[in-house]
Amino acid sequence: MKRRTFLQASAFTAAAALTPLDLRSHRIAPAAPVVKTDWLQDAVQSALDAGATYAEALFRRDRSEMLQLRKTDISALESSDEAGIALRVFSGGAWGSAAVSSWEPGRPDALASAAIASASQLAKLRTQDIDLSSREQAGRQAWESPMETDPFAVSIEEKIDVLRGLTEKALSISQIPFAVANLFFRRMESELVTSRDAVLRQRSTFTYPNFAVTAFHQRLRRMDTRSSSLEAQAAGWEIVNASLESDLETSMQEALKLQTADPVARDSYDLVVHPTLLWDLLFDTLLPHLDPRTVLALDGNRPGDQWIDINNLANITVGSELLTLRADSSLPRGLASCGWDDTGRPSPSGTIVDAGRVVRLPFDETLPRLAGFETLGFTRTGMWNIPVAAAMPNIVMNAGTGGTVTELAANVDNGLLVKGRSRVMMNPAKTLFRVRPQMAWMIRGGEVAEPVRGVEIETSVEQFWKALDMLSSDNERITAGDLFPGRSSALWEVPFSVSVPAAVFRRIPVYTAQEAG
Amino acid sequence: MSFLSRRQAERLLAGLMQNDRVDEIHAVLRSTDGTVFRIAENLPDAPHRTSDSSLQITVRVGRRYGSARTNDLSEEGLNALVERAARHASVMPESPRVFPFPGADASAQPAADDSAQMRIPSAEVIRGVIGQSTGADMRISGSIAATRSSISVATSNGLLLHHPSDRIHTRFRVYASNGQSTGFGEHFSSSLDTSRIERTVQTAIDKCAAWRNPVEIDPTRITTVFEPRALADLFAPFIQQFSQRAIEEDGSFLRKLDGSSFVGSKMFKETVTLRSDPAAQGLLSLPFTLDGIPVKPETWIRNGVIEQVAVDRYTADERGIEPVAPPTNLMMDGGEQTLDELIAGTSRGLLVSGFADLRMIDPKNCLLSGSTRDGLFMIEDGTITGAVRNLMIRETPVYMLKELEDAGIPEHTSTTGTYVPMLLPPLRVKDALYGASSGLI
Repeated sequence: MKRRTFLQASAFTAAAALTPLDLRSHRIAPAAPVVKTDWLQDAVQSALDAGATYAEALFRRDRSEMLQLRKTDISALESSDEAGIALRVFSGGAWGSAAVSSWEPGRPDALASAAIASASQLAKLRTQDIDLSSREQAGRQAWESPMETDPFAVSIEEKIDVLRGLTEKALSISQIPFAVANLFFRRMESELVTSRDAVLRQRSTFTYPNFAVTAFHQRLRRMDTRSSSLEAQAAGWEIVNASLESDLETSMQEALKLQTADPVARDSYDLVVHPTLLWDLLFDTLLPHLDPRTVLALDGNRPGDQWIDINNLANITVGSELLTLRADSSLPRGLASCGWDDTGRPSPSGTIVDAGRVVRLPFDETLPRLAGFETLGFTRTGMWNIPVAAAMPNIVMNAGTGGTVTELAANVDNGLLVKGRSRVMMNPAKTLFRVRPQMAWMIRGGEVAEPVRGVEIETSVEQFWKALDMLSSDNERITAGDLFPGRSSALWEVPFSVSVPAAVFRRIPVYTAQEAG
Repeated sequence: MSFLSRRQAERLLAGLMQNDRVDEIHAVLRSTDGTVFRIAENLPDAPHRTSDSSLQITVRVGRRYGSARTNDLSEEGLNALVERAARHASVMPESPRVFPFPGADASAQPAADDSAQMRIPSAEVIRGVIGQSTGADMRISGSIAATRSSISVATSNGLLLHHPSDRIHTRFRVYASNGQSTGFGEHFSSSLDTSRIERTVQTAIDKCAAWRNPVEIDPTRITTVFEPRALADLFAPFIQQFSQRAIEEDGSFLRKLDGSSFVGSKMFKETVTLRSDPAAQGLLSLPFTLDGIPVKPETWIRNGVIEQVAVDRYTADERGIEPVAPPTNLMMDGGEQTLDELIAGTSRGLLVSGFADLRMIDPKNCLLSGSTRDGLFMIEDGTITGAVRNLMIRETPVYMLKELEDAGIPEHTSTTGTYVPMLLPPLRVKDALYGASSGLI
């Protein structure tokens, strides 16, 4: 079949196949446009014919678009569209896999042969049992992340207008000489066909608008930059206009206030940590230690360096009794929210850390079993050509009864309110961290007072999370995630979100950061 | 499968260049067919085979440029790609200066390491690796990746460059069974050589066995012997600063206070000579840049004098001079001594085998910071007297090459993780600067 004919046929077949037996989301995922379900089914059948006891073929397409405006000029506009197919088989007591670009996938049996060959190589070295009980049974189903307006259908001109509106507004203030605004969009589409006759189609769309404004104080020769609070969400264009303008106003005002603030005095303070900073601290400092490959020292890069290892997993305390973390695969706007993982298991939820103790880990069936320890199967792939592996689900930190940020501050005599994500610097062993929040205010006698500059928090991961003393209620909660989680852990390929309230941490060392220049 | 021969790439790119929707096209086509065999803590994973090709294009429409990327190389896919790039160009600001993408250049034809057949590692090879590790009572993690790849650069002005390469990348870290000492071995070759894989694993095991019971030392300035792999990681960011653009943008140690450059000035010891040649035996590397400049043999430092810096096409066009491609490999002249002899000539110092998390702190003087890794040892009276806990180094190759005491016999090496072939000697340097312990095992 010629390529063009193949494409037409595949689009038709895919569209015709869209009659979900079980609609797991409020909308039906549209047709995956590049590959035929038949091709995937043929690959699965070829693997079974060649002796596999189980097979799953995953088609995956990734689209992305990025725009950037510096001041009022567009400085970057990039887009990418890539797709491919991975076939995973269980044969002779071992898993095997192979992947091919969907542009020219060749014959389904050739991909099956490559995957069977992979399994037979591994079978010579080790074998294992297979448990398919948690996988979806026969049927066509679909899931799509909620979205009102498809960002890929919005014109580039409209996107530029939105960004220019932001930078022009910022630059209209004479003390703000520089502004940058960005838009990132990403879409992951997949179709999984398994030898249990399941056909699972999914589509997630991520939108991430952001900006940064820089204020400059001529006399004091000070530059202060504030960036937006909004983080990447599983959502569409609708979130772009929703809150950017008010966020910009807040950021500009805070950057200007910071210009004339005095430096913080080096001391230990009680910190009220705003959720716009707390999510990133959880993401960067604690969660990498809870990746199962790190716990099992299977990361290949830093085995042996882990703070939490398999021998102390059941006994170690990673935070105070207030620290409870749940995996939530249906978190609204969560980047890892999905109907199923990439092996066809319904997306999981469950407690990961309960009152400071690790009770369960996200897991992958190819990892060695953790005898006597509960796991939460969640296996995904970052792109079509990367083998599926254990992935982090969305993580939700329990809220408390402390009320609002202001009410939390009322419980602090001498402290700081710190806000806004910043680059978290980890030591090579990832046990110590340093961060400079974007904004900080003194708290005196329970009242939020004047802003201070140069706040640099430096402590150990363990000490920080054990110092957690109060949690705000749910109404302060934000959900945020990173489209490129590999910056925090080389193992993380798939975006996920964390949802956190505001919190109080007691007696945290704070240093006075050196001013640049 | 998706590995593209020169003829396949040529045919595909020729079709792309027929597109008359835009004024000019510049394309970078990559293809790869690879298998990776991973081991984690003595536990092998299934070998994973991937075949893919991807295309990145930049188009010019009038005075505007736009880019886009895809791995759909069908006719429809290519048309959609050009359409997308042209769409991007339509909203970009006009470029103040337009000069054409390069045309055909016969001097840029590569000498490629295009072997006939690529063998991939078998289960027996992996069993051997694990056996070596368990035999030494150690745990091993890492991978053997066998990749056949090609890269092609073409323009609508007639340029077509194609470079195939085969690569076996062996990379393993071992840990002692108590988890308290580590060793690392890495090797790149163009064909499967099981004895070389064995030697790479043995290197890691030997380092791990030697790095037992490390002692902590205070921050210090101390004479240091750097092994070639450690130097490769220090020199990679150093050589990037040999760039006219970086000098003009104040991002290079080669910029003088008055804005001019140190080209022609003697900056380093007389013995320092640094060269590159993409066709050098055993160091074959990409013979062209992604914007289509041929990489020619160059001497960057001769007898301590800065002789050459890279000049990109834009800057070259502005000045009316020829562009100079940055190096894709690196060779440093050395001496006659072995590593052991360099150590024997050291009264008190450190031996550094490698680094982790090396980062640029200040580009104006090429100041780097990171942790030592995979072997840090104390040298006293010419012998290694014990292991030292990993330290944060805070040093610049600029100072190192000024305070160079001695250089040994050059060895083949590469930067860690990514293949940048280098022929570097071990160096003994006076008073390298170290901070506190990094906490890394």
